[in-house]
Formats: sequence, structure tokens, C-alpha cells
Amino acid sequence: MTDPDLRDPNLDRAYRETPRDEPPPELDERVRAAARRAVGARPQSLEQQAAAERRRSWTSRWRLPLSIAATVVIAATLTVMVQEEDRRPRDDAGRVMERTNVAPKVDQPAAGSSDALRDGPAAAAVAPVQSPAPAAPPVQPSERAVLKSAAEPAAPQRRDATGRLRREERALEAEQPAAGESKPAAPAELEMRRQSTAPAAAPPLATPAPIPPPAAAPAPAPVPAAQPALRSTPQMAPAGAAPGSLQRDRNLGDRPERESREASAIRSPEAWVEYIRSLRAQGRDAEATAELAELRRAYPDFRLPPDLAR
Amino acid sequence: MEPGRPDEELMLAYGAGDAAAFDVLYARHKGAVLRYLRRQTGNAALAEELFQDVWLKLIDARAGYEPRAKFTTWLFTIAHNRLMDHFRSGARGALVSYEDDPAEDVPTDMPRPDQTAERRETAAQLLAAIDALPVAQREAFLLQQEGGLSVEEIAAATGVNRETAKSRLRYAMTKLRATLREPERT
Repeated sequence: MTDPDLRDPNLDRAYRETPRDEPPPELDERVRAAARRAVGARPQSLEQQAAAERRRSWTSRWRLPLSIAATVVIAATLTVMVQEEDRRPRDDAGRVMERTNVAPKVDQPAAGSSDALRDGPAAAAVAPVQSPAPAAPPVQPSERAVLKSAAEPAAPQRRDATGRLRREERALEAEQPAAGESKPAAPAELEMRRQSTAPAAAPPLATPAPIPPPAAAPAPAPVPAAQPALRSTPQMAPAGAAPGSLQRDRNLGDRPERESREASAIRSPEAWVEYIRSLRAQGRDAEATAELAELRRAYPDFRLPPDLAR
Repeated sequence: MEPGRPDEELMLAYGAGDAAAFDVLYARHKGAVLRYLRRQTGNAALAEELFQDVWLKLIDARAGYEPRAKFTTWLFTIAHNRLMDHFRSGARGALVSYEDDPAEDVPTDMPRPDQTAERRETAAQLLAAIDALPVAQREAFLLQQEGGLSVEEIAAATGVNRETAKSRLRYAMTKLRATLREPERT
């Protein structure tokens, strides 16, 4: 093509003016049909081809952006849903913990136990009374249990407090023989302690302890000397004792009598009867009579045993 | 439809199953192929028959197409081969003259164009002169004009070396120029 002899503009122009023959339409259609058949495409008119081309161009143009957008939306939705699922139980557990933490820190078990160790045998005898029932872990293994306990009203908490008080009584009585010179806590003193701990206790996360049957309630040991020993426990505590422990005991001593009486209403009549018997056995007849009157007032329908009915 | 796409890309697309790409290719080159065949055979019906065969061969060869050369070179190679098959079958005695390529083979009975004829008449006379050319020279000229092939591409399409293709083209042009000059001289 670089040879000028092989290209003549005049000749080219003259040739372009020769008739521009084209194949007839039927021949065109035959060839096109053969071409479509070869690739498995359906026969289409030119308009259909143009429409298909427009659709194809639209889909090819928007396929990738739409795919990306759909992926992002799905991923975001799943993320939000997963976060919501994670947050909901935590919120519920947080609310439960808030309710639990409303209780004063009087019943810190660690502090009570350490005080007991420092204060010697007498203090050790008192410590179990102040230490609450073993607290449940902040979050139960089962979230369902957490939600259930959180949904429970105050009544179970009250029942739980009563059960805890009974456990405290038993613990105190168990400690009495080991205390040696320490005298067992008087039931009245226990009542006062019960009053001081009952409102603040009741950890809602703890599984409510079953209330033992009244007959199984242990009778307080009838050792008269135990009462003064217990009353003097705060004064006997060394200077290094935890101030919280001392303050607790002082508060116990300052409880009004009315609260003690109200607390006695929580006690079962059987336990009350045992208490009155113990008072009589100690020769504290006046107190026994007063307690008996109180028992009659609190439980007018309760049938007194023959030894007390006299 | 993408008219700006190169032929080679369209052919590859068709080989991959895009029927629309074939339609574009066909629309571009159908006229050139048909004119090449018609002016080589001198028979419209025969040219259409060969024309269809050429495109069917292209369709059959779509899967193995590789753009190693221009698409038009490949297309006119198919057309040339189909034409040679036709000539070899003895349907027309021009095959013998295709092999002949005498330099002095200028037809003496070439029709002279009318000096006063319009350009259209000149074109008709040119066509007559083209028809009077030896087959090989005519093919070289038609491949140049219709297919837009270079000398090298003509050589490749017709299966000869470059010098042979160049010689054929030069002879054809010399004769046709002489035809075009005749009216001016008279």
C-alpha cells in the first residue's frame, strides 16, 4: 500500500460510483437465521433485538451496583439484628443487677468473714449471723432464670429473706458450742438482727431457699449467758475491726421495739412457741409471758400447746 | 447494537454466543462480499449461492476464530476459497485464466466508454473493464476496493506471495486507468 502505483484516487472514485449491490432481504434472513441457530438464539425481529439489547444493557449496567447495594443492606440488617439480640439480655441482666445493688452493702460477705477472723471466737460466732446467705453470681448461667427472677415480685424476696433468717438462726446455734465462753444469741437479739437484715437482704438473683417446715426449726439453745455475750460483741470488738461491723451491731441495738414486734410476726408460731419454752426454761417467766401474749395477739387462731396454754 | 466495535471483537463475541454481534458484522460486510462474488462470477444467482456458503462457513468456523489478522482478510479468504472451489468444479472456465497472469494480457476488445457519457456511464464502463480483467487481476482489484485489503492482505487472502499480489494489482490498475483515460483522449 505504500506504493503509489497501487492506489489511484480517480480509479477509487470511479469504482465507488458503480452500483452498490446488496443481497436480497430473504437471503439476509436466511443467513441471520443460520447464525442464530448456530448459537442457540431464538429468531428475533430487529425491533425485538433492539429491545433485548436495551434490556441487556440496562441489566448489565445496574447488575453490579444493585448487587453491592443489596449485599450492604443485608449485612447491615444482620449486624443490627445481632447487636439487638446481644443487647437485650444484657439490658435485662443490668436491670436485675441494679435492683440487686439497691440493697445496702451491710451484708458484704467478705467483710463479715474477715471481721470474724480478726475478732476472735466471739466475733466469729457473730459473723455468720450477719453474713447473708451465699449470694448467687451476678448473672445466672441461664438468662431465662435471670429474667424469671427479675420478673418476680417482692413476695418471693420476702420469702427469701425469711429463709435466710432461718439459716442465720441455724448457723448461730451451730456456732454456739464452738464459741466456748460465748453465750448463744438470745432469740430477741436474733429478732433484732433479723430486722436489720431482712429489708436489705433478699438478693433477687439467689434461688429462693425453701422454707423449712416449722417442726424442723431448731430451738435456740437455752443458755442464758449467751445473750449478754452477744450484746457486748460490738464493744468487745478490737479497735482494728471493720467499722462497718461495729456500726451494724450498734444499729442492731438501737432498733425500736416496734420493729422487733413486727418482725416477730414473720416468725412461725411453732418457732415462737419454742422460743417461749426456752425463756421459761431459763426462768425468764416475765419475758415468756410477754412473748406468749404477743404470740396470741399475732396468731389468735393458733392452738397453743398444753404446756403453754396453762 | 454497537457499531463502533471492531470486527474482530464482534466476531469473538459471536463465537461466544452473541448473535447480535453477528448481525453487526453481517450488515457491515455483506455488500462487499456479494459484489466481490458477483463480479467474479458474472452471475447474480450464483453469487448469492456462494455468498450464503461463505457466511455459513464463517458461522461454522466461529468457535475457532482467532484475531491473528484483520477480520476482512479472514472473511475474504473464505470467499476466495469458496470461489476457487466453484472454479475448480468446472462450472466456469475462468479457472484456467486465473492461473494465467500474462503482463501483455490486455484485452483488445475492452469496451470503450462513451466520451460524453455521464459519470454513471463511466462507472458502467469501468465495471465492464473490470469484468474483462483476468480473474486473478480482477480479484486483486476487487479485494482492494471492496475489502479494503492491502497488498499483503491480498496476498494472504489469495494464498500467494506479496510480489505476486502486487503484480496482479498493478496490472489491473494499469488496464483500468487506461479505460478511464480513453474518453478524455477522444
